[in-house]
Amino acid sequence: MTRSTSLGSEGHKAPKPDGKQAQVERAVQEAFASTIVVENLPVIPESKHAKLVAVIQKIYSPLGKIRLLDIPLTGGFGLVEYASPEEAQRAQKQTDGFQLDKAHRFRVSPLSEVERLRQLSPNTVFEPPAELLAELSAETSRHMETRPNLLSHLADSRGRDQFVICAGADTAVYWCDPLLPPELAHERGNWTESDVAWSPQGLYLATFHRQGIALWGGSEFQKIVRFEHPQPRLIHFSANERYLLTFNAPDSPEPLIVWETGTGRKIKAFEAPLRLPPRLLEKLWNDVMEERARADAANPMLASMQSAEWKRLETERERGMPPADIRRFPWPLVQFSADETMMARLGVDGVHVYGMLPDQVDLLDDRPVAVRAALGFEWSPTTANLLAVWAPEEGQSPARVLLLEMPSRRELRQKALYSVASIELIWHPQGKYLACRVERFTRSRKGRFTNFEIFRVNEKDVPVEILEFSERDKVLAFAWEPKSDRFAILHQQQLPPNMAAGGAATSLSSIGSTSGFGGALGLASGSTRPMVTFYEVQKDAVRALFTLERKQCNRICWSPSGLGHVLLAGLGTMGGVLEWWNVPDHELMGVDEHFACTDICWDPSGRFVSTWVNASASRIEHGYQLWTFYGRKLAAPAFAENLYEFSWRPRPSKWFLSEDEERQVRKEWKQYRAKYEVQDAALREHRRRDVRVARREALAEWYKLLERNRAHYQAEADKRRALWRGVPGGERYVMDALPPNEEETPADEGEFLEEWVEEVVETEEQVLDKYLNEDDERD
Amino acid sequence: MRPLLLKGHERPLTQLKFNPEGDLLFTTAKDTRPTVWWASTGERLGTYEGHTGAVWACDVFWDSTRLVTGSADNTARLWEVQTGRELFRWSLRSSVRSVGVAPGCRLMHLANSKLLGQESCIHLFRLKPDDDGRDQEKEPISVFQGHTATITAAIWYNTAEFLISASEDGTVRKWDVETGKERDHAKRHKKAITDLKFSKDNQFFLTGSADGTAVLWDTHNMQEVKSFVLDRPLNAVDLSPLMPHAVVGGGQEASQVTTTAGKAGKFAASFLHLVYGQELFSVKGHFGPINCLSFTPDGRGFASGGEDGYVRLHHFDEEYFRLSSEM
Repeated sequence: MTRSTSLGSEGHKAPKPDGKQAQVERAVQEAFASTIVVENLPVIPESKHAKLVAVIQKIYSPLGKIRLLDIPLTGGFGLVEYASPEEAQRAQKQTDGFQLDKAHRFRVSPLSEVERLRQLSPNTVFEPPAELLAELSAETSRHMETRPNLLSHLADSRGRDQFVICAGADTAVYWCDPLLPPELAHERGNWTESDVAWSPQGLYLATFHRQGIALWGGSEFQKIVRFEHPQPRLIHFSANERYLLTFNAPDSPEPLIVWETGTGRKIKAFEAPLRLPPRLLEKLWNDVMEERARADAANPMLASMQSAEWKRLETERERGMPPADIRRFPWPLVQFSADETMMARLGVDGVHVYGMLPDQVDLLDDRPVAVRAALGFEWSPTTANLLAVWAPEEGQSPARVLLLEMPSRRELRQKALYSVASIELIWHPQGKYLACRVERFTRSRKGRFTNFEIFRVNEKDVPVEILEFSERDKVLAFAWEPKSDRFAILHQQQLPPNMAAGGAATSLSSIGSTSGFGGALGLASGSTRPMVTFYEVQKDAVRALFTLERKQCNRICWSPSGLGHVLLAGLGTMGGVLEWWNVPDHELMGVDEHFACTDICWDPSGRFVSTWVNASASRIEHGYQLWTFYGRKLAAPAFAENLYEFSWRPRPSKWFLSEDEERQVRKEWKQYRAKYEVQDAALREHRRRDVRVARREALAEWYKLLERNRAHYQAEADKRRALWRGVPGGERYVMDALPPNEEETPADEGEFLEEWVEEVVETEEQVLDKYLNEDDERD
Repeated sequence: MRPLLLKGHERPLTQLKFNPEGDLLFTTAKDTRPTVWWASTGERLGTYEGHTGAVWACDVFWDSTRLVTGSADNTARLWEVQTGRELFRWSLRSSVRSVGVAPGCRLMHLANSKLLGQESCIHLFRLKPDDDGRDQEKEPISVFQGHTATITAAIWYNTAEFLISASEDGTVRKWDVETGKERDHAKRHKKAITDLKFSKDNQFFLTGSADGTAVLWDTHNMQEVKSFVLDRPLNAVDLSPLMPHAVVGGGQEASQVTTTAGKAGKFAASFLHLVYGQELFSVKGHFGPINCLSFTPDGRGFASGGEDGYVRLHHFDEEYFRLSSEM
């Protein structure tokens, strides 16, 4: 249309007057030219409309005679028509970019311009130049390279799991294979300066460096992101790896930092000094001082030289500083809720819960969760966002365990407890139950005993079950089975003092002589071997299933499968005795031993379990052993000097089958089994063939070497002859190892032919023939 | 494969040496009496009395008439094999760790410990293998110096042109006999090398180390041909003259054995296939670490000497010779 072109240049081109039609058109054009559009006006409710009109009027009326002012209610823009195009032009130039207030800066353009843009033909599309396109695509592919597929390890065709080991300066990731020896997936020297850790979903491997933490991922373990935090000592990921918490030292300027894992952005830093609840601080210091005193008592010579050290510790303590030894800190100091919308830490005045939005982290409602003097808390592992908190006795008020729903702070359950020494909060891994291990004083306050308060979290009003152990029945460990209602408790009977003094002496000495683990467990005179009791939380009560007595055991380790498989182990000085139990069937599946092993680790599927000897806990036998879930050795034990880390790569939880799907699979397992057996057989055969090929090659290579050696040996015959000349009986040293079919052999030394028959090389050639023939038959 | 149990020593064994015919077995131990046995029956023939310290090493002449022993009493002695008479005595400034008679029997080496302020060196002596044997030179004709820790073993190449030595510093070195210069050296072990043996044709040699590895080397270019990783520190290795096999043995160090259960100490002799690198079988029996191992010269048996003071002499069953073909 002609009009659109004429409007193109500021609307000044005067069209030819042409009758009435032309006159109207001219008027329209003039109106267009005299009008300006003001954008970025505040969007206001109706009540304030008149006020806005007044403001705009006030801005624009000094610049010319306003013929019309139109500000639609919801648009955020307005039209101002002046008497002449000149006035409109001036107003447009003067007010474009006018700052009305902080958030509103005018964009003013002539209406004719707006119209022109509107009328642009849809065909005039922007065509990016070819070079730009090429560069963009290159950039995209580069981007793909720098961000590898973090889930590639899950695509393994045989569904194998990975594990990482650190031994000395070397860090290596292996595939655990049910049929073959562990296969190296990736290996690097000096990959980390102190430790490594998988993220909880297994997407990243974190390494520790002087400058901070680095995360690695993808099939080649490329560096994904770094977090700069000098000398990090401890890290903790939120459940879905969205956030990472790093901790270096309590006296650094920023001891604790929360990061966004994906971007490396610092979300929040907690600045020094770390303010901890006074009771917690007191406990930390007591522990430090106790250990110090014990060390000094053990080595009085050294102790006398360390009075300055004592003084330093005392002053630090008086000044309310946390001890420098961070191993004692309850870790993680900051815990993330399971849905990653909140995080919490212990403050002086209660638990500080922070809401986490993409751009800001704020203390919820600007006040802590008012459990005064709270000493411990745990988020529920489910997204229900339940927070369990406990606080010790204070004056007349009893100790309490609270179950709160966050962020509403609704109290689901509160339980008051008396004579409490300490409480440990242990959530069931699926959040179904909360177990509180309560250490209590006896009435005389001289002794201690343990009871468990088990909260049925998913039931109405959260009923609590109580499980009590007497003072003579010392609880050593508690463990929930993941994905079931069972748990196990390791405990130990203390004999009454009169028995311990006399009668027990003989029985104890017999235990001591057979196993020699007496000192290991603090097996004070008067205690028997530990026992393990299995319990189940049933509809109406918590029931003991059965008890295994007199077990050489100091660790209970449930398989993650939820099928009731458990490994009972006597680690370290107990000698590495291992027992695999199937709890539902009360069946001992396997018994074995991994001498001196110090740690156990189940793979995420519950098919395999590893036992290993940690160099920091044992001087000898560093290495690991892989087992099936029922205690068969999977491969030869692997010897790794200075092994200090073994850890299975976790699997992302969101791809786990639901319970129903899992049940379905179990129902159809016969079909699966047939399929996998065929696969495994094929693999074994393939593997055998590979081995045969490799051996054939190695043998060929070996023969080449022997051939070369033979030539070399032969070439030096004269030298040997010279050496042995004149020595009676020395001739045989000259020729001894020559090959049998050599023509060079002097005739007079034929008497040694008999020895040649036993020649290395000849024997081997026969071996090869046989070997090849056997191969052929099998193929 | 019932072994003959040779009980004559009161202290840990240090070396085993068969004479070239394989009918005699010479053993040395940390007691002061080198002993000779009939290899076929295990009967003790006699002892060589005179040393006043632990005996570390011995070597026997090509014709089995003379024996040389080296001891912690800082002497090496020449003995008449048949009578046990001491013929000659060499003195060094620290204990003698390795003894070797050169092919041709005109030269001999002694290597001493790095001890008492002495560097560990190889001392080269001239030998006069005449009828009497009492007329020997007291002074070495040459001294090879270079190892930074005690030399644990040294062996002669069959042309007597050079020696290979292994040391607690983890290196192997090749010494030119003519010039006394180091021709080559290589390091592959992370800890002390404890034993060193040639293959029958001397073109390969095998080292064993406290780091739990055994390495097969090419004698001429001093490059690794194969390596074998074991699950325990090694004290002794040998190469079979008949089969492509090696035998290795060791165990946790004596100082740590008290903290280790016997069954986990791994005091077995392991047989390795040189080509396939895998362990063929192992022979248990010693109740302390194995200190020395030797195949018989015909490769039809082997002997092991332990920290426990026993020598175990084994003769292979026929099955052994079929092993490779069964793999």
